[in-house]
Amino acid sequence: MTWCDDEPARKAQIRTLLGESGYACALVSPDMPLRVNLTALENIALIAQFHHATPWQQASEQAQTLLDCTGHGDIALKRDEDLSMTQRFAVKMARAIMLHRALIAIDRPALMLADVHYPEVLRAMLTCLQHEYSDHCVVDYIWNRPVYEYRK
Amino acid sequence: MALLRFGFHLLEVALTPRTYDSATRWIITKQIYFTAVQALPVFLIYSLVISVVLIQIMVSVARDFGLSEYVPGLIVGFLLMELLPLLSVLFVALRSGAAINTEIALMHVNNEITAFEHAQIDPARYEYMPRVVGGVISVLALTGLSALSALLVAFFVIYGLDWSNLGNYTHSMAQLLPLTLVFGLIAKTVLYGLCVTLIPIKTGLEIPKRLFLVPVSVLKGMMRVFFAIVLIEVASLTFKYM
Amino acid sequence: MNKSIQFKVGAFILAALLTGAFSFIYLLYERGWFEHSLQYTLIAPDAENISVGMPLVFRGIAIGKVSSLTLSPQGMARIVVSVESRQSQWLRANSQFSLDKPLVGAAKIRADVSDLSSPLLSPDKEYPLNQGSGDLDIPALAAKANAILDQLGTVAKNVAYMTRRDGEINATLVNAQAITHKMTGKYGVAQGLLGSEQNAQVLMDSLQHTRELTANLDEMSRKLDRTVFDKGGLIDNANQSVAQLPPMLEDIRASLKKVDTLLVNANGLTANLKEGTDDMGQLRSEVDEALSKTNQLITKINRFLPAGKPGEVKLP
Repeated sequence: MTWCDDEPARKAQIRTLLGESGYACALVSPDMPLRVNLTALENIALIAQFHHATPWQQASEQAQTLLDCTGHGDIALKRDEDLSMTQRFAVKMARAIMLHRALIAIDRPALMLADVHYPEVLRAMLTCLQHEYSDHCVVDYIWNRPVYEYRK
Repeated sequence: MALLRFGFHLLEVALTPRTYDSATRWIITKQIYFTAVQALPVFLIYSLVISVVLIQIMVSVARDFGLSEYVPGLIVGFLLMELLPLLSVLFVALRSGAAINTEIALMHVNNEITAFEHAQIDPARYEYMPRVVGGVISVLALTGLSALSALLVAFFVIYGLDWSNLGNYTHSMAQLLPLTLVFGLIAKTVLYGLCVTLIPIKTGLEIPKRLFLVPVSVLKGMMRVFFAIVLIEVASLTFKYM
Repeated sequence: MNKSIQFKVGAFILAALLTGAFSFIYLLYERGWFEHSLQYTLIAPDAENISVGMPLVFRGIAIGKVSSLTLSPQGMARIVVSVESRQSQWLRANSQFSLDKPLVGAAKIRADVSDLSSPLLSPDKEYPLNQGSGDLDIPALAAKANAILDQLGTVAKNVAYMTRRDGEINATLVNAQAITHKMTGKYGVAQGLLGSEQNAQVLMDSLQHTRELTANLDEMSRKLDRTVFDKGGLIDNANQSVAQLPPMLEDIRASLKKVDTLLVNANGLTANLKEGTDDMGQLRSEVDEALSKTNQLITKINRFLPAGKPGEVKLP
């Protein structure tokens, strides 16, 4: 967990995480939308197709596996606007995992999971995906800290 | 100038064999489907109607004035070389050019391109080049098929249903089409295809990231496409008749 | 991925490519790209007015074109003409090649053959190219033609003057009609008036000849009009004949003037028959002289006008 005091501090923190190349971590952020004219599955599989010239068959299987892990396997053929916030977050997570970078930075999960008690959803999703990625960090504002501590 | 550089970059991308991974192949297929295949039946009907009407007028007017021998030259020089390419490029510009401009502008405003860049996906390779390829193939195919159908229509209008004249007709038409003219037509059509896709993409990317500027970008792009089409047409005519 | 889209796009690309390739190959075929072409060599003193790509024309139809221009070892211009093999049958060993440079339009090489049964032209031998009127000075010719047309205009005016409504010829004819009305017998009154049958005959003959002459002149001016600018006409034919025309036309005009005055005389004569009888002999000889001179000129001009038949004017 990384706590930031204000917006400039958060931006600086994200820049640090991205590193000099800008590609040190995979960002899951409200500023990184899904491609709207592709289905959820295509959005995820595209990474493998593009970077590893994986054939569609294989890439889509990988993507489907990741979506199944998040518990949202049924949304594969839906497009961005038909997804709920949680579903969209799951697709973004899967997409970030496909990049196979050392770190996954989750920027302001509050903004991406506004309708649910997001620390819990986030924890659940990270738990079921824990075998798929190496490390993660969550960047959020300091005033949201109590939300993470709240237990039902 | 910037447009030229952009076009050159896309050409570079298009000529790299690595570009053609499964995702790009699929999106090129989709682009060709949406810009060419889907448009084909409607456009063919539309160009057939125009060809029939124009050729009918040409033939009957020429008969009235005793100028029948100029009709094939007029069909080739006016309909085949000028009107049909112009109609097909206008069709593609209105149908796909406007769509491309809007989509790219929205992608740009919506940060989707930034997301692609973050994922190290080259938008030129995945988004721009397939659209340009689809547009060029579309304009080429529409022009070629409408030209061939116009020639067939001209045969029926001039000779009726008498197939015995076909050899004679194709021979005289072939004499009117030197290879330089055919290559000139192909070059012009490819240029048209480039201008109805490159200009909208470039214009869509140029605007500041403001949603209300998307319509402005589309109208700007369409104006530029129109001027480019007119410029190419005038340049080709000047080149041909100078 | 959508199989139906893939299938449609594949089918579309395949169909478009096949159609395009087929049309293109057919176009090449129709334009003779797959034809075996034969090369014939022509020799000319110089290659002026000849350029690569110039058509070789047989009976007005292009059957080949000039493919290259080089110099022969003898310093002559060597013109290589390529002819499609299916058209080579029109070129025979006795074919004549000439440079055809019309007044208006592009120059071409014309092949003429008099005997289509003679052996085929050999691609290995060299044949002469007759440049003929190839170096024709067109502006000068046009100026000459203009001068001729001016003179023709004067002639036509004279003819029109002579045949005008109340003109001499008409008056003569009207008078003659009046006289013949009065005459009852073979030569009737005229015989009585003129003294003898012979004298009356003379007058009739003169009038007949005048009529013939007018008709001849009329036809000639029409013919000149038609032929001067026609293809293969006067201009194509020869420079020198054109040069001869102006003085001839001048002669014609002089003769016409003479005829004119004669007719005035004749008019006066018929109007005052009684007083004119003495001059009848003189009239006859003068009319005859003018007629023969004009007719000679007409025959001469007719010889230069290639489209026409040789002079058919019969002298009295």
